[in-house]
Amino acid sequence: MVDTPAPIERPPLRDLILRKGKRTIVGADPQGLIRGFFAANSSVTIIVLALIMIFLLKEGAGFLGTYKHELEIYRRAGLEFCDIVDRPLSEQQELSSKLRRAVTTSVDPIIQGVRARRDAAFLLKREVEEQTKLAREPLAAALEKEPAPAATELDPLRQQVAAATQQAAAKMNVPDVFTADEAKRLRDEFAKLTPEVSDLPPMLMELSAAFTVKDKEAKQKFGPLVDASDELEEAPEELRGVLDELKEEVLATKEAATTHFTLEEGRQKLLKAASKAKDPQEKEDLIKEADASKTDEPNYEESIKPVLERREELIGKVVAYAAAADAAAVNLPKEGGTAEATQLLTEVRAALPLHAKALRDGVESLRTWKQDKPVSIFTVIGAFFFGTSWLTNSSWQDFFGFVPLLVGSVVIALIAIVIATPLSVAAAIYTNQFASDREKEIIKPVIEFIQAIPSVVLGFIGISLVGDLIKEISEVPWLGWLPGFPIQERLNMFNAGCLLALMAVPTMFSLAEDALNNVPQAYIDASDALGATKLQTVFRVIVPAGLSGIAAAILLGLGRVIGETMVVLLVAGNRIAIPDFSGGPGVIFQPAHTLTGIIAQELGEVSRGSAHWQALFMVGIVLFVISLAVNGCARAVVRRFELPKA
Amino acid sequence: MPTDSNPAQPSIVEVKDMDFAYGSKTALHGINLEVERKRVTALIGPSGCGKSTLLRCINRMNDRVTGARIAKGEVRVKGKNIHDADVDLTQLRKQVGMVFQKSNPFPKTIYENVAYGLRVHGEKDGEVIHEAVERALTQAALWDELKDRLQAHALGLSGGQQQRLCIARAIATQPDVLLMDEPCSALDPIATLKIEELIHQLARDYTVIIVTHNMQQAVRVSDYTAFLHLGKLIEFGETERMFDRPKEKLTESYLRGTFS
Amino acid sequence: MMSNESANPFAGDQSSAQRRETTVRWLLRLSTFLIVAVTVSIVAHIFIKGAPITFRKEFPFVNVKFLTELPGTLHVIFDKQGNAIETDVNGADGIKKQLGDNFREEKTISYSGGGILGPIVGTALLVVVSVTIALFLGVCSAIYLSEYASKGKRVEMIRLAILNLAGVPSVVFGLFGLGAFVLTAPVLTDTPHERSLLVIPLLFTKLSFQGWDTCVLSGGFTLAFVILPVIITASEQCLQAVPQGFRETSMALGATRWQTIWRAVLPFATPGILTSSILGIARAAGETAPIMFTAALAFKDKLPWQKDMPPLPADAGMFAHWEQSVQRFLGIFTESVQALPYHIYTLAARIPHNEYSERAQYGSVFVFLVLVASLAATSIWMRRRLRGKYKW
Repeated sequence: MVDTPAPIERPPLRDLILRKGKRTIVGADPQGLIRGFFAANSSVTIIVLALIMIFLLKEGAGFLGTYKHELEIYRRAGLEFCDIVDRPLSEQQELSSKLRRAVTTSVDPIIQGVRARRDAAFLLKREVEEQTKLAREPLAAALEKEPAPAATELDPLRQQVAAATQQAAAKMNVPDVFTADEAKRLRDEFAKLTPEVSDLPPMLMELSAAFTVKDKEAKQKFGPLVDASDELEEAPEELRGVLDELKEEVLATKEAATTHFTLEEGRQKLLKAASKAKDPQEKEDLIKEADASKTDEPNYEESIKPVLERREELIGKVVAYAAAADAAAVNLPKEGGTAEATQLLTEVRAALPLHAKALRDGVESLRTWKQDKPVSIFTVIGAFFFGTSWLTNSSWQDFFGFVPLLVGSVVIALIAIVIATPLSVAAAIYTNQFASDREKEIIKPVIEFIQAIPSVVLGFIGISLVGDLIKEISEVPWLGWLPGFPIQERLNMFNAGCLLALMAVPTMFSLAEDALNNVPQAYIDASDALGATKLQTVFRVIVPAGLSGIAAAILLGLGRVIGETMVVLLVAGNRIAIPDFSGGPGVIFQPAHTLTGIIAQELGEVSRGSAHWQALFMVGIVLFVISLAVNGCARAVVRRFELPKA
Repeated sequence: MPTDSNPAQPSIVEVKDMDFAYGSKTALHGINLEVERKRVTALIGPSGCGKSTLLRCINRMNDRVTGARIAKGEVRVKGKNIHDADVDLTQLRKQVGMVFQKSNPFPKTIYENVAYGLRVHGEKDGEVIHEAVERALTQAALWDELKDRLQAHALGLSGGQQQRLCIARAIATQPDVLLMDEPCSALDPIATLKIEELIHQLARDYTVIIVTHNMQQAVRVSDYTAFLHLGKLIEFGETERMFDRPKEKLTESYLRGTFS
Repeated sequence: MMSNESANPFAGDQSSAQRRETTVRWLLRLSTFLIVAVTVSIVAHIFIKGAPITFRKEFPFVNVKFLTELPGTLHVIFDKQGNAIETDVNGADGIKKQLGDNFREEKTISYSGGGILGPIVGTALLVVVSVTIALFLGVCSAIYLSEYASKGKRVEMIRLAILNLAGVPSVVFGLFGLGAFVLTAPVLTDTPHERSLLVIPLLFTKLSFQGWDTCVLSGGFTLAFVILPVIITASEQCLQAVPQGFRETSMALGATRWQTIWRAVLPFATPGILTSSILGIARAAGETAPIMFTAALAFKDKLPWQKDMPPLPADAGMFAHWEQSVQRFLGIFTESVQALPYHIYTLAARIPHNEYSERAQYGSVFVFLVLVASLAATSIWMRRRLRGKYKW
């Protein structure tokens, strides 16, 4: 407000204007205040973005230190030493199981007949028992009673069982692996089944015996193969024995160390509380309590000694096993009983020398391994970004290797984009250029509606509908030539990719359609006037002109797909392993875990501040950076290829 | 309607008693026009008189407007009614080229712009295309300026060059008729002059029909002039004669600029 | 006349080109309608499987129990004739006793019994909190961007931030919410938690940065930032759609900037803003990952306002009652809740599948989809109507 009255000679209008300029609230112009209020509000997005980064870093940044500490214990306690042998050795189990499968598939054709007869007969028996369950249960219960009930009490129950069993046996649907005579015999024998006799009916005994004989015969025929399989299975026995003893030893050291550090942390807290405590008595108590929990860090040099003493012994066993593996590769018969068996044998024969070599290469590392070699920060960073195993809650050692998750996320995103791009771009072209108004009225709301379907609902659809659908389709015989068919797992990367593709469609469709809409009419006129057909105009002028927009649409769709959580969590199968790409494109039908899924699944179950907790926040940081990068790329694409104004 | 076109000369475009309508609104009434081969014909008249609409009837560019149709009469090009069922629109437009008011080169290279017409009509032979591009650019008086940067982006050219490039693009398929819809209205005087010169030269090989709102331009470039007013063809004749001695009062007042 | 009707100078070589044109056009149409068909069949599948659980053939035509009870463990008791009796934890023993010797076995299926009232209420609370916050911040930001800001570095940065915020994965928002609201946000308390980041003593109490724990408020704030970019962008579009002339006229009449905004711009933009905020509601209701660690519980046997309070003395005055009511009301926001999307996740991923769990799943999914989809459909429909109505 003006303090001094305005001079009279001033014209009223001017006075008004001047007064307005001077009116203030707490020394500030109200219009400026209002403006400032809105400006402050609009900065919220910037602040939030910064806060996201800050809080992710706050919780996740400690990861490198914590993980470094864990890896140090891993080394100093000697777990790393054991893993030099243990890691390559784990491959042996897979090879061994392959050989076992080769044996089974070889033997199978020979024993199939007798086995089918045996299994069918046992199945029939179970069916009869199942059907007469209601009659059998009271009898069985009565028989178990102490003291045994009188016969008069049991007899009506027995009769009930007999009647029910006879009826069930008569109704039995005997498959045609049995002759009519055999079927009759089976019926007769099964009619007498009762819970009081536990012996198998004679016919079943005979069928089992026949199977055993045939099985032996078959195994004899493939003797060398069976022997090789057994040999490989037993070859690492001694090595494993030594290794297991060593592992036990180092694990004890590690546990001692872990306990020490946990207690130490508690002790530090107590001491801190003590230093703050005002009451001297309380202070004394706290210090006393802290002293009581004082432990010493284990002496790693001492505890590793017994392990290192057996170093040469271990090496000796490794060399011996490697030689055995090499020998097994040579002794392996060239051909199995079936094509599949031969294929498996070929694989194993090729893999064995590599397996042996990996073990032999380890020998050098075993010799030079040093417990006190420091763990550098680069090793830790490498272990996170290039580590190939994400292993948590392990009794041996937790690893936070990020690669399996990244691979899962990327493969799923690629599947989704490969499916969604042609569909949504085609839909955008069709809607923009060809569709009648009637069709547009269906297409646009439906596609807009997809955006409103919550992702958890789509994930649920993946579990309850799409998974079974894909599996059933994959089991159709004439589709067997497709890679990966028939599929093993209902929940897999392809399933997740399909649903994510649906989620990405609205984003990509609307952005692509905008891009096409923005193509100037003048281009279309020119093309029409030159006698181009509609299709030629679309594909030679409109689409190329809208290409940058379409590319941005694809990129933003990719960003959306990589960041999606619920669908992958529910549908991707959640197996934490790098998918096996050796099988070619069929890899897409394998389950996997993802960056987003791992956070959603594991964060609820870890304690705050642990390495695992911090690792999950690290994954969050990576996701955040990826999303920023994808956004930046999309903008760069649009800017780089923007149409020059004609 | 008075007309003094020479009946001995064969007409390439004939508009016969044509009514044209957008939905229920009739835009052109009873137009009769015969355009002579290898001459420049100008369509003049105040804005909204229907001269552009008439031009667009000749290559059926109006087809894309919903509700637009020929209500009566017919348009014949090279003696063929262009609305016959057996007329292939792409073939018609290949033979009746068009240049627009604003230059509209595609966001492609200069070379690809000129080659576009040939490519959409199925030409795959690189030699043929190259020859056609060179010929079209030469005819459009661009070859000397641009022969060293055929792979440059067309949108980097100046306005006048862009419009001449559009002309080159239109003549690359060697049409019989070239329609021009106020081709100079967005250009500066020097560029306009160049285009007018070009139109003169083009008339040696092509029949040119040009819409213009600039009467001086009509005088400068055309052999014949048609004056339209409110959807009707008021007068049609040799340009010189018409500007000297208009037969109709309306024409005279328009040409004098005392038009209300 | 040289007209010769038999010669056609414009004859086209139509067959092959035409065929290709038709083929490609059909391919494009096929792709488009494949998307439509997939969407429709997914929705149809959920309706066919879910509607029978939610609706009833006879009066009152809806499954009242399913919509008004809290979720619980389902007990299924089989007798020896193979009949199945469904009941909850309280009824199980009674029925077993009643069956006596005829009892054969009992199956329990977690989370699948009762109804879904708890999740519905929780989702509603989260939506109310998040949309209130997001609408306030979003509209204010939009007003600044549309009415005040001129082009410059600052505005460019804000726009960049909006774009980037829209691209942040929802699970990262969850992490952010956990770090910021659950573990760090400031509260007034006399007894700070030991994890508190910073304690500032105030006059009667202390301000402690120890977080709000998992509760409606944490989840609501987190969701608010998830939908903030959507709301800002939509609101700004609505403000921009108001013709410039309105502002100029108002300013020319001597109105201040704020008067202009308040009287000449906002009234015309409000319907549009509200419409797009419905879409924000749908989005907030549908998100799962952001509330997983900030607000949602897999199971809770009480509604947020059913909290035990110390009984008031008999002679408690009006004020005491009133105070307790206020406390009860405020308490709603500091409780963790069940939420529909998280409930569906729990049903789908955490328990084995069988016919009983499937019923609960499809029922919940159906109700959820109907809620979210009707919100979205309303928004889409209203936007179309508005677009027709306000053509300035």
